Amino acid sequence: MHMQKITSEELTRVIMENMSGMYRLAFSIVGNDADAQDAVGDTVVKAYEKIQTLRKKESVQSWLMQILVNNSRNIVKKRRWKLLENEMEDLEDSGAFKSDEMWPLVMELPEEFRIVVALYYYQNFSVKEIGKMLKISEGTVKSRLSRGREKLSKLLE
Amino acid sequence: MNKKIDWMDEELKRIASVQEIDLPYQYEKMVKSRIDQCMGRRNKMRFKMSKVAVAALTLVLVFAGAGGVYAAGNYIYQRMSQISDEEKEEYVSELLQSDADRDSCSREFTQEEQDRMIELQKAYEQGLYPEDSLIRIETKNEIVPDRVCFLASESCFYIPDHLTDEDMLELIDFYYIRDYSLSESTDQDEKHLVDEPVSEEDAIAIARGKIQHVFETNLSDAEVSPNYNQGEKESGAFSEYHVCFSYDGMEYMAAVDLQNGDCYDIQKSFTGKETYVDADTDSVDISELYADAEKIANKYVEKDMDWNQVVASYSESRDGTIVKGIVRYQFYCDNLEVIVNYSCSLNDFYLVRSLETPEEIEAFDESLCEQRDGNKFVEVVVKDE
Repeated sequence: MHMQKITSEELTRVIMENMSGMYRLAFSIVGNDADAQDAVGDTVVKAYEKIQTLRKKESVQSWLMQILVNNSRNIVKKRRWKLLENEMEDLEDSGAFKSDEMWPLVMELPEEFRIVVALYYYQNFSVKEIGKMLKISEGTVKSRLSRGREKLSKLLE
Repeated sequence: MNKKIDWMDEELKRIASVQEIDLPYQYEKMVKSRIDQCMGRRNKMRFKMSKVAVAALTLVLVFAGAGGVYAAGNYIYQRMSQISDEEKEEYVSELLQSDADRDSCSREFTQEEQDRMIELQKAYEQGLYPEDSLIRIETKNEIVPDRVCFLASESCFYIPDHLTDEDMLELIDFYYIRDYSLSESTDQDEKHLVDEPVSEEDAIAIARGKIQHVFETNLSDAEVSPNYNQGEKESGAFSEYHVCFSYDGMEYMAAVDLQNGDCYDIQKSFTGKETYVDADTDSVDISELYADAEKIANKYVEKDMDWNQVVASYSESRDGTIVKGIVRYQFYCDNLEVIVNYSCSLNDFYLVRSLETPEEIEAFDESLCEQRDGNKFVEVVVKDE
């Protein structure tokens, strides 16, 4: 079986280029700065460890985000306390998104919708790529986007 | 309508693209530090592998063929087999800790010494080993004048004025063992790759067959999209394909284990239609749906089962609706549990899977807890022997 491997230098470049996107995606899942940073840090380490498993070089970005989604979800699972949706606002925010007029609307959505919206609108992944990343059908991606679009349509008024 | 949606999407992407994110300072520093750590280790390992021979010595030629090739059955292989994991790890750690980017010696070798070393290397490969090992020191103060000493922090060999055969054999032995330890260590990176007797083509065929059987559909003209995934479970590393079929406004998915060909996690959905919409409790008749749910469960396990117990459940919100419109049927028989989900929104069964490992059962229980939070959990025992 032939694998077109990515070099560690190429992986470094991809990580640096996606630093903001990774933070945003992690935050959309974990809801606070500290956990978002942990999730990204763990993802960087895991990516280098698992570099040999990447089959297609051109999929490196979605592969990286997939690892990040899994790590972020694991962090949420490991939390001792459960967050209710309305407690998200009380979490310590890094202030990273204070200039982003769209982000507060995104964070009002349930988690499974936030992820899809972040990947689609902010990071320009296709519906197909998102489906593969999250192991859900394209139909499910589209229906979650539809809900996200409804929320975000306020920005277009 | 599609044009309006396309326009909205373009606008939202445009808006998103101009939003600024003010990353915390320590975040960028943290990422760069992690990258440096990971790259540092990889670079050191790579460098040390290629620069392991000392340039000042003709050992460069002597070891040209050494590069980690240890054929079973020869003396070298036997020698290396005696090295413990702890010893190997020590060699690798020394290299990684060293600030030096190459080995060095306290003096150059004479021509006579170089010639003798080449002869001794051949003898070493025929089973002539040193009686002792060279001395590892932590500071220069520890140098023993008439012995070969190695200062790991500087990657420097301190050579006595006069080298005996024993000294040379200790040097040769050190290089072979270190080379072997390094090659073993980099092989660890490859060890998470698992054997995959099931190919991508096989996985697609297995997934297609299973979905067609369970959901009684024909996917011969469906568009196929396989997605490779590798991960780890308690039992070890595993790999799978998630295969997605798109056809006639529907999407079907199944996962195939590439180690044993098992097919699991079978789902379907209507393209563009939401699966998880809250529904009225009177929109579904649990007992009426039971027969179809059982049929799907039996098709999934590929035999007509005599289930010991069947339980249907859903979460009821304060508004009296079925949360996410999901009704779940759990089929139990001995150690086997199969779950079949019904979506009120789709008016159809859309998911079937089994729970086997403790991790799967725990994850499933957690998902039920999330549904239960603040809601009434309704369970109906449909069958109980």
